Amino acid sequence: MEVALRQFHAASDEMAANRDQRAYLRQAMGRYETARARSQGRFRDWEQARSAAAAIKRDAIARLGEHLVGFTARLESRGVHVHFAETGDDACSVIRDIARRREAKLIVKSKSMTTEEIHLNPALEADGYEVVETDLGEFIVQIRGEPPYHIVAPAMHLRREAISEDFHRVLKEPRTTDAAELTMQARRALRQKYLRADIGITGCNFAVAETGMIAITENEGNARLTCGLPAVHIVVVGIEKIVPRFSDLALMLPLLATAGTGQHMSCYNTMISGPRRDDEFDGPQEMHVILLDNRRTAMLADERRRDALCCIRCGACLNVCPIFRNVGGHAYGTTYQGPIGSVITPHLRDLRGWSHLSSASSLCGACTATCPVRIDLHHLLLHNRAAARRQHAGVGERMAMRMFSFVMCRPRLYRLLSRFARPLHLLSRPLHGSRIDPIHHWRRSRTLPAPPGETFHQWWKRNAAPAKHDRGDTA
Amino acid sequence: MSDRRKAVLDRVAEALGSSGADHATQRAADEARRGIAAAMPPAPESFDDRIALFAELSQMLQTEFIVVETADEARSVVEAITKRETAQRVAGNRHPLVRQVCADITVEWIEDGFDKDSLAGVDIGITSCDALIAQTGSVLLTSRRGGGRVLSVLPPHHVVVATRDQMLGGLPDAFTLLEERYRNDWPSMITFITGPSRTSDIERTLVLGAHGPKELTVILIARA
Repeated sequence: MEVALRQFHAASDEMAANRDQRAYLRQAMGRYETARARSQGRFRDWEQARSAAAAIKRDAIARLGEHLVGFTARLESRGVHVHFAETGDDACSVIRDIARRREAKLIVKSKSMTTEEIHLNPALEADGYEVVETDLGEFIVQIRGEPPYHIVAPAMHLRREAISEDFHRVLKEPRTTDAAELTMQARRALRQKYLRADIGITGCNFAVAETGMIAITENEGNARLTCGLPAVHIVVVGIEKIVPRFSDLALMLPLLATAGTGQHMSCYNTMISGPRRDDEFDGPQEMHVILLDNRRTAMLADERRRDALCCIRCGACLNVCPIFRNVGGHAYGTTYQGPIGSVITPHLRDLRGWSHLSSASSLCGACTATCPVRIDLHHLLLHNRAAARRQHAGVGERMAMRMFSFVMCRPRLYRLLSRFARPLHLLSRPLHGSRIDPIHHWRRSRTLPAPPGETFHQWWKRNAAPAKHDRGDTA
Repeated sequence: MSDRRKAVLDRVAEALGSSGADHATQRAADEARRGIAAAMPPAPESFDDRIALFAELSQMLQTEFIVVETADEARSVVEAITKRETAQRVAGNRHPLVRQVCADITVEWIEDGFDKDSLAGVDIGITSCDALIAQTGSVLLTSRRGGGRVLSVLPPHHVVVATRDQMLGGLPDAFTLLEERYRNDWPSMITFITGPSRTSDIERTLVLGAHGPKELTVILIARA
């Protein structure tokens, strides 16, 4: 069994048994649902808004090359350095070069899942830079040496007592159980970092092709400070973040806020068009945008899978997923969790090692129903499963499927064999759920009903069709 | 560097093949854009309705929203704000409206020299804005009319002064305004501010003033 799969089993078993943590998660998700229903209700036609966003993102992806060229040209015309990175390592190299050239010591970051994806922090720390996450949730998990738990709420799994212990240990602040006071402790500590930082690194929610702008959505103000105070601003953005027109943000920003956190608008939606202008007196003097491929072009090549690149990283699919709600974010073992994570991780990493995530699904379709850009997530999970089977199905599974189709294509053979179904089931009862049971994954915790004494065909023959004059009777 | 650019763009082109060449997705997107305003949350037309909606959303967001009739009244409001606590340092941008409403108080003007460490000790940042948006209860502010990037986000209290004509209905109006005003010469930063800074990262409990301002005051001068 692959390592990742084994880890997933272990982590999800542990979480599934932790009733406290599950109840806590469910509570948090319940609050999200209430807020979301309220914000979504203000839209006069939410479904139409989703369809419009879906059409706009699909056009962004279908003409991605064209948009990327325009985006790059406009940024460069304003003095922004635009770099393309084929892999995560490329992106890290570019950033390390900038830091070296600038003789940086302190780097502040605002929340960016893309920088998680490329493992930027360890690379920079290995070079000796101090790297500080400024988003409160990211700051908390950074202190703990943990990865983020959820793409939008990184520390949602932690109780305030645990956070206070960490702040007491690292920031030397007094212990408290007041969330506001804890936030102030973090604010005080981070303020000094912003003021002294040499480089600020942000992600990007939307890359506006028409005007060449980076749009950043946040609630805390840490991204505004990260790209406002240090002398150098670096943006890491996946190539799929393109949005064609500036005015498309009038739809995408409220949509992202509603789906992601149940807000009408996030607190700060900022568009950066370049480094400080000549008539401006603050802002970075140098700005870099790194456009990241990292196997996104591989997903682009598959006509169905391409849809997953429309994702705006709102996190709604995580919030509604029954799997996520019960095993939590860390169990996935990946940068991107939940349904979208399960869809894209096998392609960002490798299919063999990660296709199990596509099976960690009840196919309930809640993710598809909630996605603000109408990505058909649960069918994409099936698509992944089919691809995984075609490439990596085990010998046993292949044989079983061959036998199955052999029998099912021969009705007489099927009818003959089904006479043995019940006796076989009864005789094999002692083995059900044991290691040698071929379907022990199901029968380990479920009881399959015994097949009835006769097949339907047999029953029908015995109870033959009613006489003509009875036809009018319905039970 | 440009090898990587070529490599990525080539791979994009290869992956997409001839998709998009028939402009079908572009047509579909344009079609979708045409009808979208009616699907969004309401964006009122009349000034009174706009004020009412902005006020309602401000209450939810915990933005302090003060409507006055004249610039004189605004001046009194600003003075009262600075007197709420002792020794309040005020910084601002030297926009005519800001100068007018700050006539009675001492202001450190950002144009006189930007010093981030000094600004970090300021209590109130007072700025003009590009617009107010009723649909979302937002303040639209750029580095050009907002005193730069940091003045409106570093001090713990941000005060915004706006006039009647700046009160827009919805986000589409805001984007139209931005395009008309700045299309040929974009400011380096444009931001929509919707309420004071906030976080729910600790046990999903809402806390104001995470890194940005804990208090946001919007003063609207209602008479034309």
